[in-house]
Amino acid sequence: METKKMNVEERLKKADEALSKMGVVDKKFFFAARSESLPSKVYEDVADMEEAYLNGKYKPLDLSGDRGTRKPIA
Amino acid sequence: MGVHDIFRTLNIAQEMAEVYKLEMLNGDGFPRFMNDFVDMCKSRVAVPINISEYTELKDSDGKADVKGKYFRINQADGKHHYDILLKSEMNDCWHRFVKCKELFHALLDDGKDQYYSNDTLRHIEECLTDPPEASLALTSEWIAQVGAAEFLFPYKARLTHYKTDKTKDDFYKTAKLYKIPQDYIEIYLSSPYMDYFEVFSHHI
Repeated sequence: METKKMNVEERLKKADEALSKMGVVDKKFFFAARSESLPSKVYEDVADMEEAYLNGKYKPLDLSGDRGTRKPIA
Repeated sequence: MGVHDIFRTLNIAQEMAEVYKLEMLNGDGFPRFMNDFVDMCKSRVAVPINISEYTELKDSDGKADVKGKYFRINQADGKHHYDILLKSEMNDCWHRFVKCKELFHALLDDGKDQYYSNDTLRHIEECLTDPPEASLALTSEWIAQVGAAEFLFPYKARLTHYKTDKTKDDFYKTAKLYKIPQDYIEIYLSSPYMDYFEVFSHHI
């Protein structure tokens, strides 16, 4: 368990360094209220997300839905 | 958390609600359309906000602890931009709420770096322990949620539901009406949360 924690801490430190080099100055995350998982899972989740960001494993979100009708421009 | 932080957040949420009402037909209605709000946020901050979803990290069952990330990136040319990333396959309510909360980080960013979080390990530790003397970085997580709540489920609407919603079934119906997660409806309609924001009620 301790080794696993050390491992995720190392991953997060490396991600911090790499993100800092690319100009990231602020990082926040959405942590669900009423989370019932072990803290170690949270560390792993964040590490996974930072690594995926660094490795470009994401795509633009489709923003076409969830839209209403705009008022006509006067 | 400073009262100043809350007032500032509520002011911004209210200003965004005013813009929304001005620009949208039936702007007083709910649920508020999130991708129109994205456009309004982009206009207000006037720097790029890139919103993406992870290709391999999913939240199909809604049980992920961490559902989204926000980054501010300072560019070599002196400009900056924001990247927001969401886990894929979240349901609509989670998707909207997480997106809205992360957008509030960009709306609240005034370039003061004392609110920034650079040390991820320390930031996670603080989020998990919620210390009484929270850092400004942790405070900014909380006030971004306050902003999202105020935009998607404003205090005046909460007050109405606070008087009527008593059961899980009531909370579920309200969650469907405003399209935000039921967990948050229950939190926002809890007595401690409503009592806390009563202090600010003359303002919102």
